Amino acid sequence: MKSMASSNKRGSISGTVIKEDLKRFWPVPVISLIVMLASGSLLLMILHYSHSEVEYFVRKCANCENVGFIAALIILGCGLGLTLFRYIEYDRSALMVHALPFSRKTLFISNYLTGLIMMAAPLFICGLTLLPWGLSFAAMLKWFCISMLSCVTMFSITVLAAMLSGNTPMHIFNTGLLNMLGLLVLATLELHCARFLYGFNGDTMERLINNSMPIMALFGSAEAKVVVFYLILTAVVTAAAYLAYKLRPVECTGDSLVFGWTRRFLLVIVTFGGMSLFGFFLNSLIGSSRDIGMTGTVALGMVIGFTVTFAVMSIIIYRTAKIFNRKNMITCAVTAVLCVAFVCAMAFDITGFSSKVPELEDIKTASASIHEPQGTTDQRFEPDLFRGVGAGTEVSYDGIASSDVSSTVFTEQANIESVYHIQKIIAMRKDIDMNTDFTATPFYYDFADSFTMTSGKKMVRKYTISRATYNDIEPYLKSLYESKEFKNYYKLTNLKGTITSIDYAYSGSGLHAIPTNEYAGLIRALDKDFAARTFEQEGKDTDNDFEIQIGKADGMCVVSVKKTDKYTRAWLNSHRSLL
Amino acid sequence: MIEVRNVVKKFDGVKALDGLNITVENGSIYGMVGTNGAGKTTIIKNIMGILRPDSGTIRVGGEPVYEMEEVKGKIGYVSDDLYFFPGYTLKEMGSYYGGIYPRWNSERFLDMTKNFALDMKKKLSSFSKGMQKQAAFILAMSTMPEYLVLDEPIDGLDPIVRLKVWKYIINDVAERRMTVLVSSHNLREMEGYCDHIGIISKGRMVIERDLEDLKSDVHKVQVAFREPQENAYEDLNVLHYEQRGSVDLIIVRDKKEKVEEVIGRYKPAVFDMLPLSLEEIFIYELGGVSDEIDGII
Repeated sequence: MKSMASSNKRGSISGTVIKEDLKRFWPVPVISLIVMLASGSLLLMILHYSHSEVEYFVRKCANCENVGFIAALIILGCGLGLTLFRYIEYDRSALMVHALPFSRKTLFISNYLTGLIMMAAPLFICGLTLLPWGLSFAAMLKWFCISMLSCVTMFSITVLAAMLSGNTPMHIFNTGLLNMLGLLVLATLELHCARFLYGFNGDTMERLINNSMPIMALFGSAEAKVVVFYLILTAVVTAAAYLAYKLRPVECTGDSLVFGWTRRFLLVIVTFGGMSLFGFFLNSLIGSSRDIGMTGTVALGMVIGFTVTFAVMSIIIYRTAKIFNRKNMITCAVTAVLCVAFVCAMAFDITGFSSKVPELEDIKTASASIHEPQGTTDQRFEPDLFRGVGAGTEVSYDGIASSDVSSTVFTEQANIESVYHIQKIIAMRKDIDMNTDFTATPFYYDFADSFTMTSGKKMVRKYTISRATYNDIEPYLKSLYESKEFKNYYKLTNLKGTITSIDYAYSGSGLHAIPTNEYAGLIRALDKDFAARTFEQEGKDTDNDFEIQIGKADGMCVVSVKKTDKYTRAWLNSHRSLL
Repeated sequence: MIEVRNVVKKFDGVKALDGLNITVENGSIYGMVGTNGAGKTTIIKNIMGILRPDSGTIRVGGEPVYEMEEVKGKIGYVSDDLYFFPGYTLKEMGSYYGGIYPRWNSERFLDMTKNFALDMKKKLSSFSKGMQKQAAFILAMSTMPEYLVLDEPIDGLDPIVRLKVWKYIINDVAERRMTVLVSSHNLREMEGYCDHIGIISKGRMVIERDLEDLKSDVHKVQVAFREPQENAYEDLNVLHYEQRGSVDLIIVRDKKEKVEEVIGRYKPAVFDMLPLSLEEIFIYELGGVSDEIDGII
């Protein structure tokens, strides 16, 4: 060890390697720069956009929503990862480069650094060309950093794929697989959960899926935690790639994967994915329309998918059609056991997910989506438009509901109990509703609820329920709707932000602006009517006569005025001259 | 000195090197001979730090090689399977080597390129296999290596170029005490150039000898006595005995003087000491034409 330390005194960065890489691989950054310019500032120059369109276009560029920019980022990140470390995938080049007086550390760091330079240069140049079009320097720097992070993450993943792969086709395959690994795993799990777990709410999973690739996650205004996540991920992947390079056996160059364990890992994970996708795909083609639980078609599709995927992947990985050997059959048996165990655990719901009802005394808050069956025309029930229950109270939208079924959080004990009873009824009737074909049913009701426990844990559910179940839960829905807590939440005086306009709209007569000094009177009348409105009145769409559109800086709230809304009607009658 | 001690290397569970030992003295030329698949290229890749041995040690100049930039900077290497960066000329490759080898000698590079009559500005991919081998040799020699490792260096070279290659090697050994390890599958190619020969087979060293000692110590002798003599050779180390009529043909490993003295005692009618070729020496050393010898002569 002493002699090793004494004789390895050269630096970890080789200027010659960097210079040679720049000389050999310059087309990659140049092509991506051309793509960026063609879809950015050059396009702006050629098309002579109007001022507002320029602003919109530049904002899209700055938010990484420009398709050309996205393509350029992929060319940069994946292209450089595929080319800079290509030498390790061919016997002769691997032999030559590793015989040169470099350690793997020097080669890795120098090539990686070249990648960073080759990514930063075109991005910065492109950013500079956007400045004359109205993009501020600060916005440009932000765009540069986010784009750079996307690129570096993809680059690091591609480099890791290079270290694990023995040849170029497998490197390309693994680059695609690893860059989309999060998305593929989460999407496959979501398919299983949606199929086997009654009440599964995919909103959280979908948010994770949307953030599972840097190019998707860092779109638009990326959250700080997403940026931090990708910074950490990039560091971890880079460290893993470096370690893999240090351990990489040169004699395995040309094989599909250089480490034995990665061959089995890839077989297991791809076979699981192939089995799942084929099972669900076959069911969607020829299976029953029932979309919950195990069916014969799903099972058959999974068996076919497993067999085909395992055989094809074995041939690709071991580069031979002689796959029926003892070692591979053991891997096949282990994979089959893992897959069967997973599917059985899901199909038989061993965690009791579908029938779970929390203990009432453990519940801190509960939320439920309350709306009339088949939808209501009143668009006020958007929890994030409101300040919460009572002025200044921060109990508000919990963010778990989908856009079409919004949930309102309840903290009062009576309301919590109502949501609890609803959950209990749905869980009790799950076997009936799970086996209902809703495509053949004239009535169905989408319902979402969630519970936050005193321990901080959450339970989130989303259902499509039948008429019979709806009839059972309707009294509780009515109780929730007519509760003081709910009415307080959605009263218009509790709207967030400043009202900028109020328009009165009657079918066929167009919009009529209400003068600013009359806003308070109209809002008071609308709130009185809402407070007095019953659950049944809310559900009667046919009673809707006209609507009031309330404009705010951050959006619009549209409320329906029903025939039973006597205070609003009285206010409008007394202000006819305004209309 | 290049020292290989008990090196084992397995590929997919099969031993390519099985406890191999090699010692290449400073300033000597060591010929490593073996049939295809004997393990020559594998041990060279291990010596170059391209592969890592499963067990055993490899030291060049007293230092381990694997991952050691400074040690690798002292070794010139010509691979059996050549590679140059795509689209590169010899001049560009020279410039690249110049940036990474600390003792790169541009003058020698230009001189050798001229001597081998290679076009520096022509793409190396357009060179013939023999010309590529010459280019690789020029690059390796221009790094002014302390150690030169050549894997089948003269395959594909015409006799004139072979002579030039050996001339450069021998000059550097003589002038700079360069240490050379050269592999070949043909024993005859090594004759006249190497100081030491090692024959490897199935990943093991079969025999390793100093050629000077070997040539001076092993003799082919033809003897005929007027009267039959019993135990005439018992004081000699006889490797091989053959009777052809009244003439005995013996291969003896002993000093020339001792052979002359022992046989002279019996006043032989015929006594000739004949020169031995390298392959004959090894055949008799190994006790006959074994599989190891059969493939390399």
